[in-house]
Amino acid sequence: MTPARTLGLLAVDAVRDGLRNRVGIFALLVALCVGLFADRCTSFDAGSIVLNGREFDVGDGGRFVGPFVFATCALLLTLIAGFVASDALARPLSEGTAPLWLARPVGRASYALSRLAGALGLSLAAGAAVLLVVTLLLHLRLGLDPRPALVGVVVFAIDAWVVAALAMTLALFLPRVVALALVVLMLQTVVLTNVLHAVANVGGSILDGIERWGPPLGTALLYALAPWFSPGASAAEWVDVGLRLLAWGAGSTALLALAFRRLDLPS
Amino acid sequence: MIALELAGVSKRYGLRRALERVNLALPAGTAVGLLGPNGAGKTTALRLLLGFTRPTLGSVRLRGRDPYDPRSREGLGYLPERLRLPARMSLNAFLHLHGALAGLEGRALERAVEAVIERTGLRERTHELLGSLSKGLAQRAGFAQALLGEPEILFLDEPGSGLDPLGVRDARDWIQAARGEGRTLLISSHVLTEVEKVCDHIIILHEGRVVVSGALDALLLAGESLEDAFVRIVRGNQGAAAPVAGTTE
Repeated sequence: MTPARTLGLLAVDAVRDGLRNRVGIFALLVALCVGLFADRCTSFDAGSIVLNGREFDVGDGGRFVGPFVFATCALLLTLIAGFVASDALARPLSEGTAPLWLARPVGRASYALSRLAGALGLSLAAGAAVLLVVTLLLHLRLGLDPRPALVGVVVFAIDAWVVAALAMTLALFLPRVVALALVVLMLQTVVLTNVLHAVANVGGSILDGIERWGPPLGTALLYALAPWFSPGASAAEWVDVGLRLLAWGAGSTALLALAFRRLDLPS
Repeated sequence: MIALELAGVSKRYGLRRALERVNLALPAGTAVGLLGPNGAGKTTALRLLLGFTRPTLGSVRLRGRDPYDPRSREGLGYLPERLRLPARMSLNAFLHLHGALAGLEGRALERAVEAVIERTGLRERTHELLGSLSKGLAQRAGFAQALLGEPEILFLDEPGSGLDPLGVRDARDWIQAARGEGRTLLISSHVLTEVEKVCDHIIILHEGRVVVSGALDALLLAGESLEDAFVRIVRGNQGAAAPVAGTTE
């Protein structure tokens, strides 16, 4: 049997396993809450706000509210992807069901990647559905062009891939709560660094290092949504960030496969 | 043809020695009982053969390949000692996925699943969730997946675990049928009366070393049962862990 067929069979089972499992149901419920959050944030009528003596039309605020709502939803859904992934491989190992599958002609990498694919299948489907609804809300209620949001959905998918692979790898060696806490910390740090760098050009040796070499999870989202509030990123900036994000996706996936290959399994 | 081989294999977990310079080579078609007191290294030997862990020293081959190579496990059936089944999966889906991973497709897969369901007496349970099965029925489900696709090599770790007397009799019949079909069997068990009934070759591990490896008939003294022989050999090697004279390592 080919590794591709093995991977396909196990990935389908991993999606089903996620749906049968409470973690998958919980993730879908949280995704629904994220959608409701977007609904609440965009449900305001016409009017004006007076700020420091200046009057702003609420309708104009859409170009600021829109990116904030979309990015917040995308980042929350990325965290959900990390949450689902942290369970998808660690649970069959801790429950002791994984060795039975691995006694078949199934490679370690195939098994780990199929669990990642299954976890991502679930969280990307839920995440993309929620983000498409958010895009529709932003378009209908705030009149925002849906095209940047569609690019944002693609960026969310790659962000979720990076975070899920890292969460899955960490959960192999650490208790899930600790692994998740580290993922939340990493996402928060990277996104804050990206935003600070983009908005205020705030730096420092560590922040510059994260900005230059870390996964550009926040920067890519900012670039995607930039047409709503600024001229947008140049092609060269897109290439740099896009390649770095894809390299992080490939690297974190390779790390997962390598870490799982070196892991001692229970019998 | 050699079905499985351990050459100069040592395995340590930190400071604890699980196996020490173990040499074994089992020809295809033999039915081998892997015996030893608790902590002797039986499960470690099985884990090494399945590629679940790597040896600290030495080399392990399964069907002539490194057990980390998935192709080494083509035609392998495995029943673990602590069988953990995916609780929210139906028996039918479980067997179909195992069959597909064993390389079966289409009608061959359907026939193979039907055959093991019939053989293990699980006809009425096919749509039940594995988590709802009793321990004995779960063990039957474990046997069903191990026997799927008529594997060339069967690793059975405490195969009688959780089975009632009827189940024990059935399990013995399945094992003897597999033996009659010329399959290679490696059975790790503490139920020596059962091992004596189905195995023709015995390996006894003690304190991480092979103290006996040979034909069952050559191991037993006149009128001695396997249990008597086991006690004699293990007590005779307490603290020494050297091969018993007259046996092969």
